[in-house]
Amino acid sequence: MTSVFHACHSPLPYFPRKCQRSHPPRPSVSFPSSSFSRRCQSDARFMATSVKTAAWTTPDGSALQDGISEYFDKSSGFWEDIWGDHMHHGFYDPDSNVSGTDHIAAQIRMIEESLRFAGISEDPAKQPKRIVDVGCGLGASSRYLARKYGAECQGFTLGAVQAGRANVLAKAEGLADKVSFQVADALNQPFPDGQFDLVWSMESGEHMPDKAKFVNELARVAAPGGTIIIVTECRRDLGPSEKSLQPWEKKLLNRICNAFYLPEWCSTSDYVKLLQSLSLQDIKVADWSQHVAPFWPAVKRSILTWKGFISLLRSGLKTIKGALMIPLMIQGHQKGVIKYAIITCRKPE
Amino acid sequence: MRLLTHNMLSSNIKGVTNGFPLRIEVEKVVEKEVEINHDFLRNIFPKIDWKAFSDASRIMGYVELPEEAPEPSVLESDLEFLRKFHHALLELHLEEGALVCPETGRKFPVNKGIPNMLLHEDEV
Repeated sequence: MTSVFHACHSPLPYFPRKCQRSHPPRPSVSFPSSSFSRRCQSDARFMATSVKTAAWTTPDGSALQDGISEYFDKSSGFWEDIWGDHMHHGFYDPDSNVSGTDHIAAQIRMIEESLRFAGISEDPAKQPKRIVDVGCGLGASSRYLARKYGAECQGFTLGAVQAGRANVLAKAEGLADKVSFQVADALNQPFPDGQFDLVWSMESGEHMPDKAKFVNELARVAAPGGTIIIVTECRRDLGPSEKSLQPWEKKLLNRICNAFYLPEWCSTSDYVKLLQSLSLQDIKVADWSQHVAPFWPAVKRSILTWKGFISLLRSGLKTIKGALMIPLMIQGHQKGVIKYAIITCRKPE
Repeated sequence: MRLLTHNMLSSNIKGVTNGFPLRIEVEKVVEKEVEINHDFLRNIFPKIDWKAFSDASRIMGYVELPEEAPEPSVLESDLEFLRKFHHALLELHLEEGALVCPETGRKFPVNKGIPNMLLHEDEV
């Protein structure tokens, strides 16, 4: 397939997309005329789905799994047009003015800052040679890491369409020898123990209904001496005298869970306890909430343009309901209920 | 699915003690040319389970690989061997077929080159 220079258009005027490389055109994806998919045509990635809210209030693994794969398979084409292939937050300097910011560069900076925080060596002899991308989306992290380290990278996702697109993009970027993608479940990774020097989970942990199993699998497939990097949104830690979040906080998070395909939120310290229970070493944690703060307000501004508003009205009531969730995300971040965290550790030799 | 990927996948069905290597059932193999990178091959060689790899390559229809793993020094100088290693590892693709759990016989389908390793409810 000949590569064509991807037209840098965006229906969201606040996201001028700087296309640095040419991509093969996506096959045209026909969205069935359900309110689910029509919403996806005008929403950014975190917009609500139309799936009944009941599915998210109970941790029904297979319903959640089917929902995640369907949602991301159907919306990833739309997402790629607006955001490109990196499906995660950008890393911004705190209190910076982000108008005109290259969001793609910020997303790449997120990867670089994560690697630096984890202490990945600059020495080529000590850099990862085998990497797993857990919940890989369209595979942008895998391709970036493979290129950076000359490493071999396996990515997996619940969505077959995503995996297929990820493979196409790998081939277009000349990385077909180094990266490959399959359909698999992070709660049951299809690899023997101890395979990977670097275990990478970029904003996939939010979707895992069983955090203990998720973390267990990350540790299991990590090679002795290997590094695990988890970057995720989570809820705030509890104070020393608190037994649970405040009722208003729980209510806020529940509304977001129902809208965004999320099982129950956990906190950074929940992750740390799980990692400690598995005897993982050098556990490091940072709160990067201030570094992603510009993200949601920027999404909101893009919806509130005349163009975005018309498109929203056209997409129907469920889209509007989804859009109303964005202020909740902003509120959650502003009030410190929702955090953005990085957690890294090493498996003992 | 390349054989490099196959060399890393295993069946983790509940109760299975050794789910590696997965047997390959071929319906369609496709050859896709990829530029050779000698350093990459030298780095990846020690991590390959050679027996599983050479058996798999035979099932995919390629018989040029030795059954026994060569000494690592062979990779320094034998360009012909590197070419065969590269071809089998990275250029042969199982486009359609299945990967089969060696203990339970359960088939993981491979469609359009993508293995689907999702387990059913009763297998976890």
